[in-house]
Amino acid sequence: MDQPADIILAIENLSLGFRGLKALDGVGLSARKGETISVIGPNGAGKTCLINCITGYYRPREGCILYRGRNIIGMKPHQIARLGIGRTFQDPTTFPHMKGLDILMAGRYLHTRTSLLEGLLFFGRSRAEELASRQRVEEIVAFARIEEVRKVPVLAMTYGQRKQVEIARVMAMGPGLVLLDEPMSGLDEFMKEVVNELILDMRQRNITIILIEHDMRAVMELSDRVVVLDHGKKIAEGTPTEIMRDEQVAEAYLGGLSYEREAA
Amino acid sequence: MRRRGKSRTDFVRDLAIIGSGRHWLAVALALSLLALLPFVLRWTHNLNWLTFLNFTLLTVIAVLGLNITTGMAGQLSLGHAAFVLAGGYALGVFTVKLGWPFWGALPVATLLSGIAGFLVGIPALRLRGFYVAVTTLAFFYIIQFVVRNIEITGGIHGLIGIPYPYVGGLAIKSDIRWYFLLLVFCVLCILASVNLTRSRLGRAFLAIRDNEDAAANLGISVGLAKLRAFFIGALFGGLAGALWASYVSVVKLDQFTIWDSIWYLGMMVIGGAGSTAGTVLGVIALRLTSQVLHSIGSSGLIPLSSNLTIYMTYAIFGIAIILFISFRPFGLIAMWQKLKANYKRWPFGT
Repeated sequence: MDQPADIILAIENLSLGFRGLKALDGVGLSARKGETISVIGPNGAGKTCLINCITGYYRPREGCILYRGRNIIGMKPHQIARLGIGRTFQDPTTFPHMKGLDILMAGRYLHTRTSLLEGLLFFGRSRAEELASRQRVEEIVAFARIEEVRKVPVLAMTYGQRKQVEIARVMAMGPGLVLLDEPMSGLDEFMKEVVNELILDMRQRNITIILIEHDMRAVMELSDRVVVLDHGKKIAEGTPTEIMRDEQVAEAYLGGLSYEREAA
Repeated sequence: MRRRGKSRTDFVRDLAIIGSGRHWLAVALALSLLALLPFVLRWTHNLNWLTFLNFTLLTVIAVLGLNITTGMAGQLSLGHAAFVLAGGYALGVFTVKLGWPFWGALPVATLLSGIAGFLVGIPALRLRGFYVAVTTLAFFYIIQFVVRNIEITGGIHGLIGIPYPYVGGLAIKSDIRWYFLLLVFCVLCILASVNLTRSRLGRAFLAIRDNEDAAANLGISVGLAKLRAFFIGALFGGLAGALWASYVSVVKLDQFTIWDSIWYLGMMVIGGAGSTAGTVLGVIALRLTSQVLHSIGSSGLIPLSSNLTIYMTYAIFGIAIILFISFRPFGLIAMWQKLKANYKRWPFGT
């Protein structure tokens, strides 16, 4: 198959089924390096299923997912993570009892090599790697404005802080492709702005982003292209402006209301 | 008001186990007190407490292991006593039956126990939560059955005459010498356990405890991490067992019962699962209370038979564990930390 060299992710004809239910039906998508692609659609449209397929949690029935030209279907989640694909979860209470700093440091797992024995005895690479990881983590802590929760377990954080930590964790992983599952849901305007900045920073670092989001302002502002799913099928794809004008999208997703009218 | 510890950016100091001059002073003070303790006990003719201390140190080593498997990595183990048993019997067989020197047998016995842990971890790869606990329970009975029925372990009679170690020509024979040897091992184990929490592997354990699926997306091979958690936990258990065997110079099956497994869990939970300091605190708290209750029971202060007081001790601990799990799931250490935080913030907020 002929592809431009800068295509990072290419999904073709992806289908996923649970018994009789077709969660994904022939979905295709491709992303160039540094692009942000939003996936929108009503609840149950298959957005999270798509992410779960890419990260290896679900095994699709048909189709292929190429990451940097390599088919990743059938690989285990940790093997996919090792290729540099990070994701956030919709419910940000991912590691309920871990402290903010520990979560971000755990995000550096793939960038460290300390062995079991070195870890137990704290010699060899252990100290140097800890300090190097901490250096990077602290940059992210400062940028994500989560200084307050370094030593606070997730369950004691506010919902907004959990969302911030979740994105900071994926940033700490230093991935090439990031899948964000509704990073703005449940946040107030101020927190949305903070998360927005985090995503913009990832864009500036030339990280490819697949963004699932219901907040249309964020989708408009952040994405290069938008893909619309409904009942597991891709019903539209285009620039944010094109999508907002699309009749079919308005019907399926916005309930007949156009974006402009809703905003006014 | 300046809130302490909020914006510390000195990572090097943050990474250190002992972070400040005051902290060093406290540790030095604690260690010198621990070093003086046996002499105070001898001077006050309370040497039976020294035996208590030695068993407490052994228990700390064993429970630190359980804390790694269960507290940190979240793999509920009801068979931890089996690793202690394995370490003890391995040392017994190597020294008594094969004539190895103590210092040769100790690392091999410890490692063998670790390998046993690794094997127990294999079924846990496909199981979660309670089912892992049942597997470890079964493993305990399997290993007990094997030890009882093969010849080299002495069957139901066990092994006697396990040699004591020599350190620099000094025979570790008396309780007081054992105390210092065990204290050194205990401090080393505490250090290793703390080191683990500041390494990638320790954080991988915490991550799989909290969320196996999400941990995989950090690039952690969940299965391998579980096996390592069982391996390290069993290493600690095996070391405790091997030292125990040499300390009492015999190994018998009734030294290592399923009740010990339960006790270990109780100590860990009451102290604070996942925390090294909490584990140490839990072992000390439970053993001290149990010793005090036994002393009261045997002193005749309360008009009950000593058998009855033992059962009452069990009942009291059962209740204590239930209360802790229900109301203070993070144990004594969390209560202490909360107290400390409130003290620092006083009089602002609670």
